[in-house]
Amino acid sequence: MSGALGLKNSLYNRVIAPLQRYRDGEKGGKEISFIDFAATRAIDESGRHVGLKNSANEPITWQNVWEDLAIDPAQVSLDNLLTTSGDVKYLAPEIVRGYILKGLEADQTYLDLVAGVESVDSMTVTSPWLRMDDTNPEAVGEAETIPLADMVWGHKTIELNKRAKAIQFSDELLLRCKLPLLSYYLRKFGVMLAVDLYNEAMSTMVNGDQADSSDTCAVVGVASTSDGVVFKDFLRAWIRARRISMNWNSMVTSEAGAWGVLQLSEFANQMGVGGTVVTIETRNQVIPARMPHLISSVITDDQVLLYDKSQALLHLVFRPLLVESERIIMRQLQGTACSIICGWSTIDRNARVILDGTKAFSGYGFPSYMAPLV
Amino acid sequence: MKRIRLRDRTGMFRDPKTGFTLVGDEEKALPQNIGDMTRRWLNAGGLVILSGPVIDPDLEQEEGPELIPPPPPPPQVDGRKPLADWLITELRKLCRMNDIKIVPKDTKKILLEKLRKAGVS
Repeated sequence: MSGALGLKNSLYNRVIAPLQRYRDGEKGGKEISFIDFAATRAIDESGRHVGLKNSANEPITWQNVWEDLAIDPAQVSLDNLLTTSGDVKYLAPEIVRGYILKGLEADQTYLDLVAGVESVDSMTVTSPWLRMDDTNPEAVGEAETIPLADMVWGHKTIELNKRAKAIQFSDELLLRCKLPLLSYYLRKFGVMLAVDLYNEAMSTMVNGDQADSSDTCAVVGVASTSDGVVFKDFLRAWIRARRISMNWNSMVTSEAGAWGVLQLSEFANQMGVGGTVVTIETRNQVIPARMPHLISSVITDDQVLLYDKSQALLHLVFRPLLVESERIIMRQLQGTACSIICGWSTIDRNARVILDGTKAFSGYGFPSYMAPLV
Repeated sequence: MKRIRLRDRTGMFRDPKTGFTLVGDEEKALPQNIGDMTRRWLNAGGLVILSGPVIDPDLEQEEGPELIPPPPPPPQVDGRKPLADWLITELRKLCRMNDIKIVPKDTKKILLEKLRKAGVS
């Protein structure tokens, strides 16, 4: 089906230019891969976003793009793409970007911590916060005035910053290294960017998004500091979580912390026949059946961070991952820089708690803002 | 070296760059290497500076109440107040300023004696 889509001379107008506008940071850019955009939002002759379909009338894939351009990706180098006539050269940064994104989304990432990704239109974001008190409905008599709940609200400011790194490919590399081989190294580049974002997200989980300590994560002690964090400490946290309408069903530990927690018999051993006499099916599922576990150096070895992914953290993106290339002729280098402008905002302070094995629960109970609702 | 604590004692603070950590009501000496986040929190009031100069944490614990007041004025040997009324931290500082050898175990009485022998009054 070579040429069926006619991308060789229309790729820029139909896909690349609309894609760049879509990602435009000044209007609150949105993250999308080249192939997803081409399949769903590429424009037709009349400028309508209809997406590209293959011969089977299904959204196109990278394989369809290569076939249309009559290129074998296993045999092509980045230099081949950059020097090919027509619009094919515009694919090179997208391919580099795609490989970096693969690394960015590999393994545990900041996406495992956030409830969602929101596009914002400013480097400084003002986000509202509100706290409701006395919200329990009350018995109200006929024609009686309905009592008001107390609501405290305000706003907080979050500053976004830019993270960027550049790499340079020499001509020798571009000419000799085929795309599949290059992909592994670019993926590593994405992994390192992801690590940086992950660490920053974790830091926000622990410290909150305000430097005046008003949003810092609560620290709760354990039953016995000589035992450290054990199952009954998890149990106490889960019960309180259900009483404040939270699901602290995800866990972060340090490397050494994971060594201890994962060896707890409740997590390590199968509990089959001979386990419990009665299986308690608590309606609100106090004990989670599965619990995602992440590792981070932001947590100390004696601590376990429990969080509710759906209410803990938001990723604010001013400009999504941007990959730019330039040619340095005098050194025969192709420079590629990738950058992202983003920040983090917490949603609900109740959505995260740290169990600290060095603090006793008698002195470090749940803070007052985690007072039970039910 | 100043000692600091969290303003909100229900939480914790950790500087990801330096690893400096404060949990709950812990009080720690401000590290030599202050990270960007620690500096930002100090400026914003999330971390509270407790006291002035501290030489020996153990001795400071013994002299507990001296930690709480704001940093004492710099010692002056101009006769404004008798040395016997000075705090032990001020006396230590005065000894150092006059190149008088002191050890952490030195009590206020010993420090006064050393100062007297050195001719500082």
